[in-house]
Amino acid sequence: MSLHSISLRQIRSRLVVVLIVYFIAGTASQRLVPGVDEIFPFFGWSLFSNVPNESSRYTILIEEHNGQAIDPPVVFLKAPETIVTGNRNIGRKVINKLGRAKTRDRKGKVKRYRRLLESNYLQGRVRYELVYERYDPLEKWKTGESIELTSLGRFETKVAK
Amino acid sequence: MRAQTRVESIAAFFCPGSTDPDGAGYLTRPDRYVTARTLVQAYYAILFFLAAGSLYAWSGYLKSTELIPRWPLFWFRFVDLELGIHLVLWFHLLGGIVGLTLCKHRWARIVVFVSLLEYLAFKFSFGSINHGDHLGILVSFMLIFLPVGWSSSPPPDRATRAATLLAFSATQGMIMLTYSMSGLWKIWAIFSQTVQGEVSALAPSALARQIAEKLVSSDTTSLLGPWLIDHYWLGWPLMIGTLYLEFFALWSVTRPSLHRVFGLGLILLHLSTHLTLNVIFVQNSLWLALFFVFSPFNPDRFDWRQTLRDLPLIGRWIPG
Repeated sequence: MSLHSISLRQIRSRLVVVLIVYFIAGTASQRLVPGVDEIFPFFGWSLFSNVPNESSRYTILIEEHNGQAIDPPVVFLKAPETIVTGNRNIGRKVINKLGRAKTRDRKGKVKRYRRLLESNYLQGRVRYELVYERYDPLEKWKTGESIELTSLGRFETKVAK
Repeated sequence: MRAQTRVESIAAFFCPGSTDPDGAGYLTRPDRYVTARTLVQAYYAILFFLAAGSLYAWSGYLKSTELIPRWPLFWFRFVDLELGIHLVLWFHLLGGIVGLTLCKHRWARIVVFVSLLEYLAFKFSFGSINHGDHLGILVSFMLIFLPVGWSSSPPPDRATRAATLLAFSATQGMIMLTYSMSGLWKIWAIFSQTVQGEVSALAPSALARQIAEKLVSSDTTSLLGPWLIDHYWLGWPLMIGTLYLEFFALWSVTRPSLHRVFGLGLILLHLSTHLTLNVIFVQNSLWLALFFVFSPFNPDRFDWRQTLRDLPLIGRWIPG
């Protein structure tokens, strides 16, 4: 019985240490390591922390599919299933990462995210424009108006699937 | 006699409030042990269900030609991509079966944890992490600490029951820690945004802004989001309630009278984020239901006065 009780104390100490380690590692993985979004399965759980006074996003406008012009160009999230495939919500996040890499001129990352986007979320030969948008969320929701809309360049998928 | 004192002191650590009149019984009562055991077994049954349910996605995954592997998939560089994906998917299914059939063994629970780590790392290697899947793997890690003999029937000796309930309580702690961390960042953001002269979470329009941003950025709508943007002042109490529930979530772990209240409160929070922001945390709701709504530490009789007294900030104003 006594041995069991000692191990009970040890278990408690270990479990408390686990929680403390998770708190520190989770916070560090999301907030303190530059350029790293998080180190799975550690996560700081900062979700919807800041109230968006002004927001920005990246998106792509699809202008051409398998040699056929799309007029007017269609945004990624609204494109038909013949062009966009897979989980659009994840595809949208990949586009945001691609946009950030392009803005920061990280050529290696641009290449990686383009490959990821074009292999998993676009099908056929697609020509698209990468666009940066800045807006007030409430204004954008009510009127559709943006504060800034900037083109970051045009790209074309390398190989048609 | 000495051993009993230690169990009592540990029980006191997990029950600092005046809620539980059992003293050491907090961690050793056989009925609580049986409930905890059943809930843990249900958890492994659900993991199997999720692993089997993911079979439908296999054909899509196996067509993948490009991914950015997370660190647990470091070994992908040494194998053909398709073989690597096969191994991860089969290992995930195996983990589900092992958990279902052999979860009484620690090695089996470790296999379940590793299989989840590999599978989720793979799932998150397409450019984004889904945080709605995190709690499942964190719980599987905490349950590795269950003692030898935790699943025996009839109920084992007093020390094993206490160790089982201690591990269960720590798992509850891990679940609520994630919510408190989320609340902590929101409180921090209130200070930093106020200092910068920005609209913070305390403003009546805060929730409307969050909803508008989410709906705009994902080019979608939600059932109640547009209505709540138009009636933004209704969002203020919801935002304050969210801050309270999240920030003090960890507090509730050591106060059994709050388990059901916080479990249900956080489930309602997830339902409301689904209806307004289109943000879905279905798995979290399931784990909250298992580990808090049906908590083995729930008082035998619901005493609303005691529950109110145990609430952080508010409780001290409730007469005894």
